[in-house]
Parts: sequence; structure tokens; C-alpha cells
Amino acid sequence: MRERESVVSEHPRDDEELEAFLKGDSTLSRRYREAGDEQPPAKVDAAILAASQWAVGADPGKDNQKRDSRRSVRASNAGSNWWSGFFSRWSVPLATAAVFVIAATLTLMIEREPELERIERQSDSIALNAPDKRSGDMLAELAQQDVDATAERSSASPSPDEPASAPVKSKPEKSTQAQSEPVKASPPAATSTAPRRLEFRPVEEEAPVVAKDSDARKEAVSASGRLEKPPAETVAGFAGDMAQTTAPPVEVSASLVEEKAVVEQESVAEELVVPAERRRDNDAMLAGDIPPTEMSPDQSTAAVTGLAGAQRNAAEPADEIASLQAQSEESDALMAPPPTQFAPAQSVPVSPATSGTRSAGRDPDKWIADIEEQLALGNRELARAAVKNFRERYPDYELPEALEELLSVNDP
Amino acid sequence: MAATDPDETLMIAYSNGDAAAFAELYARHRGALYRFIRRQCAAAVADELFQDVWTRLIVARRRYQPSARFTTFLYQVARNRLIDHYRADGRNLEDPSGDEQQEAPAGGATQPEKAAEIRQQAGQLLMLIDALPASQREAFLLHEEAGLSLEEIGEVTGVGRETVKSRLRYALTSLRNGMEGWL
Repeated sequence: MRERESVVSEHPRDDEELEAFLKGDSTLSRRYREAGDEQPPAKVDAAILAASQWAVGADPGKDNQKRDSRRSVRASNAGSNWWSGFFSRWSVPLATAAVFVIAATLTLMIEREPELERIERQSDSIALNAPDKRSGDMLAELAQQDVDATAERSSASPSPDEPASAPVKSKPEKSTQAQSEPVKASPPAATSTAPRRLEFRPVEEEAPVVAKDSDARKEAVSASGRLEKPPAETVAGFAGDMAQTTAPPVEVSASLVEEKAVVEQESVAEELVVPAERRRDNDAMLAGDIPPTEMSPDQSTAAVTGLAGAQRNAAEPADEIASLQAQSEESDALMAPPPTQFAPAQSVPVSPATSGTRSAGRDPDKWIADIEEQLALGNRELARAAVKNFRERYPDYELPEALEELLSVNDP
Repeated sequence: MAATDPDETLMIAYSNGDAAAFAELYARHRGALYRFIRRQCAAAVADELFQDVWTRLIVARRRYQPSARFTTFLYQVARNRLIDHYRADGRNLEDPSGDEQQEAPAGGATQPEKAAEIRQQAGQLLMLIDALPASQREAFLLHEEAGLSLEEIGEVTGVGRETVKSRLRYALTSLRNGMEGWL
């Protein structure tokens, strides 16, 4: 009975204690709060807060000021959440891909750089190993250009057959400037072989030539009272493609306009003489007698001599280039007889005496050296013809053994 | 974010990206939650579990629905984490034969080697709490640390209100008996 009372009495005590405990004013609760106040370590706090900030990827203070309501907060943070999510998701793959792309690019550049340098070196070596061909082509091209230019000037000159057709301009005030000014275009000259209409080009290249023979030219002016452009008689290469015309008088002195008839007669005479002289020079060159630049000793007059010399000097580069072209193209034509494009009226037969006189001026040793050079270059036929001509000129000259053998082989 | 805002508002703000709301929320609950965990496991793992609970809360911020108190949600997460810890050790949260039970003094019969340590009253009380069955200890701590009512404790623990009341009653009796000389 007593135990039952104690049990019944304990239940109300427990209930009261529980009620007090739930209200927070029980003795146990107070003791418990006084027992300890453990706190998490600071490093744990820092780690958790850092994780929370990293998860949202936003500045806490900044975001706190921006949010007035739940909806605005949600709307304003949608972008940052998307960006933070995108960045956290793709930052590493994008960075890795960028690193791979850069590495691959650098690798390819490094690998290809030596290859490019090697290709450049090869191209340079090829260019250095083949200079002759290029220079040969360039020389041939220059020769062709020079020949064309000379042919143009020559074709634009009046034909010796029609000396009176060339207009004679009277410019006394410019008589001293005639050499430096461009030559006025004259009517086309009707040649016997190539009646082409060509225009004159400025003859700047003739200026030094004229200046070179200024003394002779002055003599010509003083003697004939007129300054003429020398006949542009050009041999367009030794291969036979010869275009030969004569140039008309271009500039004249005004003081002699009245003596037009006399001037014209002299012009005709000169132009008849000059082609003949030129023809002899050509023959001599073909025969190896004289170089193109040598002055002929039997020039009839000082004016003709000066004009002819100027013309030869003007044609000198063309002859040299054409000779190079002839060596590479048609060497056989070098020793061929002169072409027959010369007009009969212009062609003056070269007498053996004249030729012999000219050949006497040529050094036989140099001639032999030239022939040997041609033979060394493989131009056997050219050398053979030259040796033959040399033998005719110098029957008593002791030929080298190779040339003698060449002559004996070709002369059964 | 004002300090007077309820926990639910803070949690919603944080779920929308407001890190400051989380800081405020953390400051409010850090000590109680830590002690709740610390009283139910060894000190070595209390820090890890405590950090893990908050990490889970951060990860689950977008799934948070303010249908209940934030404290209930928070301590439910912590309880689940403790259950996982116990399961990993091969023990049950309801099983009183855990390490804490073995380490805790059995009622008023304190072990001699720990007698010097629990001379103080608080120490004695803590040892008594450690010696409580897990369900009783859990109910006691949920009320003392989290301030949950009987209904909320039942919601967190998944039991009815009377069960919680009974557990609390037994827990208080045990503590009172153990602290008889101190109270």
C-alpha cells in the first residue's frame, strides 16, 4: 500500500519535473547550461563559411544590400548562380583545352620552323648553283630588248632610197640642245625589207656616245652646217635576223636651211657611205677582223667618221649582247656570210684590199684566242669557219695544234 | 539581412545566393549543433560530423522548403549524419551499447579513474548525459540544445509525442538520480 503511494507520488513529481524541463526552468537545465559551452573550432568555422560562400560565388555584403524581397533576390541572383555554376563546371575543362591548343600550336610552329629554314636554304643553294642559266636568260632578254629598240629606231629612220622624204626641221635655237632632247618622231621610213611603222624613243642612251665623239661631231657640224642623227643601222643579231635601215636627219641647223638642196645631197652621200662603211664593219666583225668599236682608218670625211663612230658606239652594247645571244642560240650563224637584207643601193662590196687592211689591224693572237674560246665552248663549226678565215688572212701564221687539227679535219 | 529575421528567411536568402544569410544562420546554430553532435560521439569525429552536416545543408539549400522550422530541418540532417556514423561503426543509434555508453558512467557508479575528472558538477552531469540511452539522450539534447518541443522532437526522430515525452521523463529521472548529491 505504501509502495503504491510512493509510485503514484513519483509520477506527479516526474510530470512536474518534465513540465519544468520543457519550460526551461528546471534545475537540470540550468546545470546543463552551466556545464559547458563547447564551440566548434575556428578552422571549422572558417571552412564552413568559405564553403558556403564558394557555393553561391557571391560577395556576401553586396548581395545582402541588394535583396529587398525574396523575389528580387531570386531574380537578381539567377545570373550569378548561372555564371557561378557555369564557371565552376567548365572552368577546368576550358582551361585544359586552352592549354592543349596552345601547346599544340607551339609544337607545330617549332617543328615546322627548321623545315622552312631548310627549304629556304635549299632554294638559296639552287639559286646560287644556277646563276649561269639565269644570267644567260637575262642577257638574252636584254639583248632582245636592245635589238628591238634598235630595230625600232632603225625602222623609223628614212630609207636611203627616200632621203628627201624625211622632214627637215629647222630649230636653230635648239641646235645645241639637239643631242640631249628627245628625237622628234619622223614619218615612217619605207625600208626594203621591213616597212614597219615605229616611233622614235628618246635616245638618252646616245647622249654619252655623242658626247664621246663630240669633237668629230662638231667638225661635222662645222663642215656640213648641219647636225644629223647618225644612221641607226643596226644588225639585229648575228643569227640572221637583221633589220637594217638608215635614220633620217633629225635636227638641222637653221643657218643652212637655205642650202637645203646641198644638204640633202650631202645627206644622201653620207648615207650611202655610212651603210657601206657599216657593211664593211659587219663583215669585219663576222670575219673577226676588227672589233666593232674600232675606228675605221679610211673614213672618207671627218663628219662621216664622227657619225659612223657614234653609230658604232651606239650599237656596241647591242652587238655585245647579240654576240652572247648568238653563242647560246645559233653559233653557226656567227661565221655565216652577211645577210642580204641590205638594199642593193646601200650595199657596197667590200674590196679585199679594204678587208685586208682592216684585218691587218686585228691581232692574230687575240683572234686565235677567240677561236680557241669558241672551240672550248663547243662551237666547233664556228671555230672551224673562223680558223678557215684566219688561215686565209694569215697563211703563214703558225696555228695551235688543236686548231690545225680542226682545220685539217675540215679541210680534206 | 537583419538579425531578427527568422531562420527560414535566412535559409531562403542563402538558397538564393545570399552568403551573409548563411553566416547569420550559422552563427545562431553553430554552438548548439556542435554540442548536440559532440554529446553523441567521440570528440575526434565531432568536428568532422559537424562540418559535414553544414556541408550537406549547403548542398541541399535549393531543396529547402520552409514547411517546417529550420531548426527541425537542421537537426534532422545532423541526426541522419549521426546515424550514418553509427552504421559505419556497426552500431545503432538506438543501441545503448555504443562507445559512448561504455565510456559513460553507469548511473551514480562512477569509475574510479574518472572520478577525479567529474568532481565538478558539470562534469558529472555531462557524464550522466553520456550514460543515457541514445534515444533519451537524443531527446534530451534536442530539447536542451535545439529548443525543440515534444512534437518537433517527434518529427525529427520519427516518433510520436508521447514517446518523446516518455523518453524525456526517463532521461530526467536518470539524470536526477545521478546528480542526487549535486542537485
